[in-house]
Amino acid sequence: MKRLLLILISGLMLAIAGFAATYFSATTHSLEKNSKPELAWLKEQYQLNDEQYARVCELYAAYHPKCLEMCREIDAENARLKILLASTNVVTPEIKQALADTSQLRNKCQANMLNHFYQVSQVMPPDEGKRYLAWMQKETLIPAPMSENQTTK
Amino acid sequence: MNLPPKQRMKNNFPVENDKPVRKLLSEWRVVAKLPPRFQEGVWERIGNFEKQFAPNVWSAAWKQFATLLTRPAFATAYLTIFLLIGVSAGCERGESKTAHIKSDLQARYVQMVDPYQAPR
Repeated sequence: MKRLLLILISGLMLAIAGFAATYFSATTHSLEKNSKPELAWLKEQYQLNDEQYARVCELYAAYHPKCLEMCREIDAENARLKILLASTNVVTPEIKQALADTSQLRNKCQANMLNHFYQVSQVMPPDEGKRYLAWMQKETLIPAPMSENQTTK
Repeated sequence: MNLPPKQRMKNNFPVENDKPVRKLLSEWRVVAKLPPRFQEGVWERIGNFEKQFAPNVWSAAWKQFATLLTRPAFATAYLTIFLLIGVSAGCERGESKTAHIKSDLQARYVQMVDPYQAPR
């Protein structure tokens, strides 16, 4: 009886040990432990070597303050537009101007983004750079077709 | 068969006595009443009797399994199966977790570089 119990418990222990060992080896923890996990993901995804990765980090460090500044401008512009829209129910010259400013700001942000994407893609191996550009443009600059956004009711 | 009269077997119920007995039997009626829930009681006793002697399938299977498991070959197979179950489940869960982490990092990278998607 003792031997049987020992065999049964050993089976369970082996299953647990096997699960734990493969779970931790199959899970990518190195990306999460990195100080910049998103850029570490980029390195892995686009097969960057250490030098290319360092350059991408530099480019991001240069772009980041600009991005923050753009965020502030967008927030300010949106707040201004919100107030104007709440104050009236017709399209006033001020609203027209605010819409034009919002549009101009979007153009500026998109141009900055695109410039950053080009710089990053040029650091990558050529094929990976093309793949990166296509993906970033799809994610940020090219809106999805209307049919993809519609949900069936 | 034509046997001599001495060798014929004697009838237990002579025909000449049969009629009155039959008449008496046909007139006989049982007047005693059955105890309450007699039929139910009988079925219950039958059920209990069957239960007592019915073979317990699970118990028999467990005994057979336990006997097999104490043999080295079966014990090895049992342990291997459990190890494989653990390994494959761990692999599947680990890959699923990694895919989730990567998908999350991908979305966060886009938010990092696009001010219109940045979390406010």
